[in-house]
Amino acid sequence: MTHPCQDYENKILDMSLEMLEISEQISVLEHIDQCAACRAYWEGLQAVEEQVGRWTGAECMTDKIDKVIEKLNATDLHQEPGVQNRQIGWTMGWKRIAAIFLIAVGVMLQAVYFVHIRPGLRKTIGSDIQGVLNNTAEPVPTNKVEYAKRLGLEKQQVEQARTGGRIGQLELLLDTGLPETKVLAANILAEIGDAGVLDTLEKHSAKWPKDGTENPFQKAIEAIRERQNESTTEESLPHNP
Amino acid sequence: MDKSRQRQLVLASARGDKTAYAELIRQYYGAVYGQCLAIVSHPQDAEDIAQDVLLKGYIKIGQLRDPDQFGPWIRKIAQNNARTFLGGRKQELEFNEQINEPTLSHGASQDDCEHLQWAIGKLPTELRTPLVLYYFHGKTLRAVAEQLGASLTDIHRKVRCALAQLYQLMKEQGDKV
Repeated sequence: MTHPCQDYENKILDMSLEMLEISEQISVLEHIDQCAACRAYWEGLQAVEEQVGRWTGAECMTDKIDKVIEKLNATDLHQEPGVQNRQIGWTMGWKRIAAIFLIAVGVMLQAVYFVHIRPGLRKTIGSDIQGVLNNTAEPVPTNKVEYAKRLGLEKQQVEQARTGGRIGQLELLLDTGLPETKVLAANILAEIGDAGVLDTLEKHSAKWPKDGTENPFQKAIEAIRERQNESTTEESLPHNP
Repeated sequence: MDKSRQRQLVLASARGDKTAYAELIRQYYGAVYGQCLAIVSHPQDAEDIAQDVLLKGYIKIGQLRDPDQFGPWIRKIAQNNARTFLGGRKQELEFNEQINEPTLSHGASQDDCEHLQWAIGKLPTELRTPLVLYYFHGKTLRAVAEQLGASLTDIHRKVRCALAQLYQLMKEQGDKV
């Protein structure tokens, strides 16, 4: 097997690829005329190129294209939905922006509610409850003067409650008042005889020291129950015409 | 084809306009087929793959975000499909133990074609692709460089090298017979 001249091999290749200057082409062709190996190389390359050109089928491309288009039209192809279809309608963009805006406004309003309004509400409600708690859990004054002052005030409240028949206020004083007030309230509740306060009285009665001293709460309970029994007996008796 | 026209065609195709897509097929068939041929080295297979790729392109065109990128997008699909096909065919050949060189005989054009196909298949991919595209694009190196995104010098060097190797392979094969 003969090889082309080393100096001319690349030039012959370039000439085959139509990448050689005309002046150089002339000198290469002159060499090919005189050199059998280079001539064989050049002719061999030409043959290969012709075959490759045919093989690629570039010349009958129109037929191939028509075949694809024919298939495209003949087949019922369903397009997959994609971004393109969404981009076409500008209204879709505005709708999306409007939706995002509304969501943002909603989030902001919620933030304002939770950060500013709700804590304020909680504070207001909380302060009321706290006030009640303070009332109910007011410490017993250690100062005698203060103690007497508060006792006087509570006694007045008891009296007012008795006059007005306010059982709820008496029950409250029973829970929150000074020990003397509690006893006074229990006595008045016994006088009134409302069975609805029995639970409260029992609670306080249970707390009373078991040292033999008279339990005013128990006494009040018994008085209420006695009165209840009396009224039941009266109701059960036959009425004389 | 100018960009605005291409954009119009892509958008119309995405809306299901087959006439618009047919125009895109006319424009890009060469690039798709050339890409497939460069990978599978078999004209009939390349034709089948190119057809599948272009029909698949119509189905999926809605997913193309930038209509200006239709060319690179469809070529990429072609590349992937051709590679998948090649992988499948290689496995099939390995399974059937049919990787023998073709039996060559003088004078028969069908044999010449098989001979050439075998020789092209023997070329490394980085040389085969520019070589096939070079002949496919009417022997224009610049078009190959643009399609492959490579420099003109690089493509020139690769095509020259590929041609020399192809000649050598075919000559050696011819000498054996």
